[in-house]
Amino acid sequence: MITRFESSRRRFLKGLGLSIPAAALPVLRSSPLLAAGAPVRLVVLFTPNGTILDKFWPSGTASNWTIPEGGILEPLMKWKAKMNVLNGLHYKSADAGPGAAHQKGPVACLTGGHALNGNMNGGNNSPSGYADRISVDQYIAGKWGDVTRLRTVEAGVAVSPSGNRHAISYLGSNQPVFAEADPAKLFTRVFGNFSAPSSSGAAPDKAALQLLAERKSVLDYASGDLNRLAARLPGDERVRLTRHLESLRELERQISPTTVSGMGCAPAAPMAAGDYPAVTKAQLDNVFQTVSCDQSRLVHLIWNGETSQQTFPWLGIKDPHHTMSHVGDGDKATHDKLVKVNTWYAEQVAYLVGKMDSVVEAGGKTMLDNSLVIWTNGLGKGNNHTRNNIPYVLLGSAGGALPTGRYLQFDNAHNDLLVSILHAMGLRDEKTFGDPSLCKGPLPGLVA
Amino acid sequence: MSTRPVWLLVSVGLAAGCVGTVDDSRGQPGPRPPTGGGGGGGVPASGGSGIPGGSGCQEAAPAVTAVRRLTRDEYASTLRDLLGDARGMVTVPFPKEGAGDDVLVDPRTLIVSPSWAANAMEAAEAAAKLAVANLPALLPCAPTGGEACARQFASTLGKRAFRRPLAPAEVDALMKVYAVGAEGGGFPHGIEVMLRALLQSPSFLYRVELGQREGSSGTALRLTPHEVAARLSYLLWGTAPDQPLMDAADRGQLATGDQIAAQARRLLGDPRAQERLAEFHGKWLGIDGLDEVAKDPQKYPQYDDKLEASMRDELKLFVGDVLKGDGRLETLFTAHFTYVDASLAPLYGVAPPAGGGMARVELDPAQRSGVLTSVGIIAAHTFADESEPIHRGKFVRERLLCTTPPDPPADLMVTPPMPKPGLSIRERLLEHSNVPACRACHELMDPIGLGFESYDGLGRFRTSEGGKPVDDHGSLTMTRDIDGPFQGAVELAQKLAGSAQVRQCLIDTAFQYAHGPDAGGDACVQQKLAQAFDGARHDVRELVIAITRADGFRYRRTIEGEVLPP
Repeated sequence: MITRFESSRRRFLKGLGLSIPAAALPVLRSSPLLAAGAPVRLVVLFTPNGTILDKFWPSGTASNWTIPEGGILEPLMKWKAKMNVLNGLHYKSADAGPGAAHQKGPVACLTGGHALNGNMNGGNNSPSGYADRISVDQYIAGKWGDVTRLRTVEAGVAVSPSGNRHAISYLGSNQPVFAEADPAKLFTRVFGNFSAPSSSGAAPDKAALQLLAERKSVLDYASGDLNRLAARLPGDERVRLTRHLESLRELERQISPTTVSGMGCAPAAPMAAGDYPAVTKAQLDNVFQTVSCDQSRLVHLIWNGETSQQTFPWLGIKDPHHTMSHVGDGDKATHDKLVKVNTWYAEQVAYLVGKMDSVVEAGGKTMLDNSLVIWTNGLGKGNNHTRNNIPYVLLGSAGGALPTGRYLQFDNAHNDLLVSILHAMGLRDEKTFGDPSLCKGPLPGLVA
Repeated sequence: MSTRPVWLLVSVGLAAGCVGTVDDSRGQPGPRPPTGGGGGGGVPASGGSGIPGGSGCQEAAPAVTAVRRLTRDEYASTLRDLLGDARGMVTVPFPKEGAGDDVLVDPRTLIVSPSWAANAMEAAEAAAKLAVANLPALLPCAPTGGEACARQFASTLGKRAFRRPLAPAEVDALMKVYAVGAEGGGFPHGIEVMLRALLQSPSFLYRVELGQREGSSGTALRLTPHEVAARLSYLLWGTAPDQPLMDAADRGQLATGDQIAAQARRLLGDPRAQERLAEFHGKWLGIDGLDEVAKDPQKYPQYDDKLEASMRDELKLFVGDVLKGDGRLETLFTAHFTYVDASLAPLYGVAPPAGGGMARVELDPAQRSGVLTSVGIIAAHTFADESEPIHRGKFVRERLLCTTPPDPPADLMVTPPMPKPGLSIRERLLEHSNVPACRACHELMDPIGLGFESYDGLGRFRTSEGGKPVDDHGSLTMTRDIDGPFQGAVELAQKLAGSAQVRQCLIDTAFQYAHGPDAGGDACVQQKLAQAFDGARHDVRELVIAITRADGFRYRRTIEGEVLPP
C-alpha cells in the first residue's frame, strides 16, 4: 500500500537525521475528502482536575513499556497495541495571559493559545476571559468544509454552558463552543431536530418541502439584516455578527434533508437522563452514533470542566473531586480515591474505544483504526495544578497515519501535538498551531 | 478529615505584585477600575471623546458595545412581553449565561453559535405557532387580512419587537417572508412565518445602538430616543420598553438627563425593577457561588438544591425589603432581619414560619448583621467543608472592597505542603506568613476571613469548634479607610457599612452592570455618581437613577472605523 510505503520512507529519512519538506510528499493522503474507504475522525475526551502521576505514567521504552500495578490505564491495556501514551507535553501557551490554573488548562487545551482578559474568577484572584483563538477541531472543520451535516459535535457530562473552565472548543477568539450536557437534546441535534432523517432515496413530502422553503426564507431575511449591520460596524462587533451569519449558514445545512448511513450506524435515542454514570454512557453512545452514522467527524466529550466538585458515590467516594485533587501527596487515602476516580474515567474511554473497535469499516480497518481518540486533562498533576506533563492517551491510528503501541517521551509545548493532530487529519502542510512562537512543528515521529 | 490543607490554590502572586495593586485601592475586576479618565485627582477635560453640552463637568462617552445579544433571561422576558404569556409560553431553550462565578455577563461573549441559532429557530417557531392560535388578538386589523393587514402587522409588531420604528424597506423584506408562508398556508400561515422571521432578526435578538448624527461629536455617538428607551428598560427591567416609554421615545422626551431620570424613577417602582436590583445585588455579593460549592453530605446532610434555592430566595427577599425601605447601603450591611422558610430557620436558630413558606424574622444583633452574615452568602464563599477563612476573606477583599491582586507570575508552581496535624485553622493559616510567596496575597485575605470563624460551612452561628472556643478576631489592612482589628463578622459589617471604599466599589460595580465591563467610567461621571449617592445618604436606588441621569447614558463611544448614521 502506498501509504505504508510513504510512511516508512519518511520515517527512515528522519532516522538518518535528514528531513524532506512535507510538500514533497503527497498531501491529503488520509484526507477524508480523498479517502476511498472510511473517513478519518477526531474524538477528544476531556476529564478535569489532573491525574495521579505514580499510577498514571508507564515506565519502559517507547516500544517496551508497562503501566504501574493498579495503574489508571489498566482498563485501556486491551488496546495497548493501538495506543500511544505521550509524556512531556506542556500547556505552555497558557503561561501567557490571565487566569487561574483551572482556567488556563481548558483554554489552552485545543487552542494552543491563552485566555483573554475578562471577568471570570478562577479561584486565585486572577479573573480571565475565554481563549484568544480558534481551537484545533474547529480549525480542521473549516479546512474540511461541509463534509458532514454537522461540522463538529460537542457532548458534555455535568458541564455548565458558561465559563472558561467548561469549554475547550473555540470558533475563534472569544467564541467558546459549549457542550450539550443533555443526551436527549444532543441526540436531537445530531439526528434531526429539523428534518427527520429520510431513509436513503425517499423524497421528503410536500409539507417538509414547504417548511424547508419557509425556513430558508427566514434565514435569508435574517442574513440580510446581519449583513447590513456588519457593513456598518467594524472590529469585535463585526466578528460577532459574522459568526452569527456563519451559524445561520450551518443551520441551513442542518435543516436540509439528510440521509443516515454507515457501518455500525443504528441511531437510538438515549434513555431519559439519569445519574452521572448513566449520562456518561448515554453521551458516549451519542459520540459513537455521531461518528458511526457520519453525522460529524469532529467530536468531543467533556466531563464537568475544571474545578468539578463531582462526587463518585458508586465508587464509594463521597468527597468532591476538586477538593480531593488539592490534597498533598502524603495523604494515601485521598491518593487512592483519586486513582479510583481516574481509573473509572479510563473505563469510560475504554467503553467508547471498545465500541469503535468492534466495527469493521470499508477497507478492512476498524472504526477505531480510522479514528484518533485523544483522552486529555485540564491539568497535569492535580494538587500542584501544574500544566506540565499533561496525561495524554491517544487511541487509534487515524487511518494509519500514526504508528501505535508506543510510550513516547517529549519535552514540547502541546502546540506541537496540535500540529500533529492536523497532520493526522490530513492537513499535512500545517507548520504551527496556536501560539506560533511555541511551535517546533509536528511532534517528531508521532505521525508517520 | 482534619488533615486537609487549607492552602488556597497554589499560584499565588509575589509579594511586590500584591502590595503594588493595593496602593491603587481599587484594583482589577470584580469591577475593573475606570479606564476612561484620570483615576484619582481632579476632573480632566475629556477632549475629543467628551460629550458635547452636558451638565457639569464633561463626561466621556462610555465604551458600550454597539450590538449586544440578549441573554437568556432577557430573551425570555422580551418574548413574554411581546406576545403575552397567557398560553403558557414557550420554553426558552438557551443556556443561562454567567452561571457560576462570572461577576457580570461580558457582552463580548454573547455570540450566536450554531447551536444557539438552532435554538433560536426552534423557539421562534414554537412561539409563532402559539401566538397565531389566537390570531385576532395578535393583529391590528381584521384577521381575514390580506397583504395590507400583513403589512400593518409588520409595522406595528415589528416596532415592538425591534424596539424602534421600521424603515419601509424592512417592512418590504418581511413581506417577502410573509409571501412564502402565505403561499403554503394562506394569510394566517403567512403571519406565522413572518413572526418567526421577526423573532430571528438581529434587530430582535440584539440590543442594537447605531446612534444618530444629530447631537454626536468627535467620538461620542448620540443614541436615538428609542435606543435610550431600550437601554433604560433593559437596565432596570431586563426587557423591552413598555408603551409609555416607547411613547416618550416617539415624542422625543428622552433627550435630557432629567427626562430619563423621571422615567427611571417610574420604572423603579415596578416589581420587575425590584427583581432586577435583587439580581444585581446577588451578582455583586457572589450568591452564584452556591452553584460551585459542594458540601460534605455527611457533615451537612441538609444541604441540597432545595436549600440552595431557599438561600437565593432569602437574599432576594432581604434585598427587596431594604430597597422598599430606606434603600441604604448601610442597611444592607447592618439590618437584623431576614427571611426564612422551614429549611433556613434552623440555620439561624429561629422557629420555622407557622404558615409555611418564607417569612420575615428578626435576628440576634449580636450574631447577625445584614448580607455579610446571611447564610447563603457565607455558604457561597465556603468551598470546603471547613469554615474556610481564605475564600471568605477573598470575598470581602474582591467583591466589597474591589481590590484584586494582580495576575500571578506566569507559571509559579508551589506544592502545598501537608499541614501539621493538630493545628487549628488559625494556626495553619499562620503558616502562610512564613512563606514569602504566599504571604503577600494571603495577608490580604486570611486576617479578614478569620473574623468569620463564628460561622460554619452553612453559615450557622457557633461559639466553639472541636471542643475549643471559637476565636473570631480579624483585622483589615491596606484599605482606604477601615484599617484595624475587629472581632466577628458583625463588627466587620459595621466597618464595611461606613467605608467610602465599599461605596466606591458599589458605584463601580453598578456602573459596569449598566454599561458593560469595558465602559470605563471617567473621573467626571465618577464624581457625579458619588455626589448623588452621598447626597441621597447612600440610597442604592438613587445611585441607579444617577447612572441614568448622567450624560453618558445617552451616548456611546464610537468604534474606530464604524459607519456613522446618515
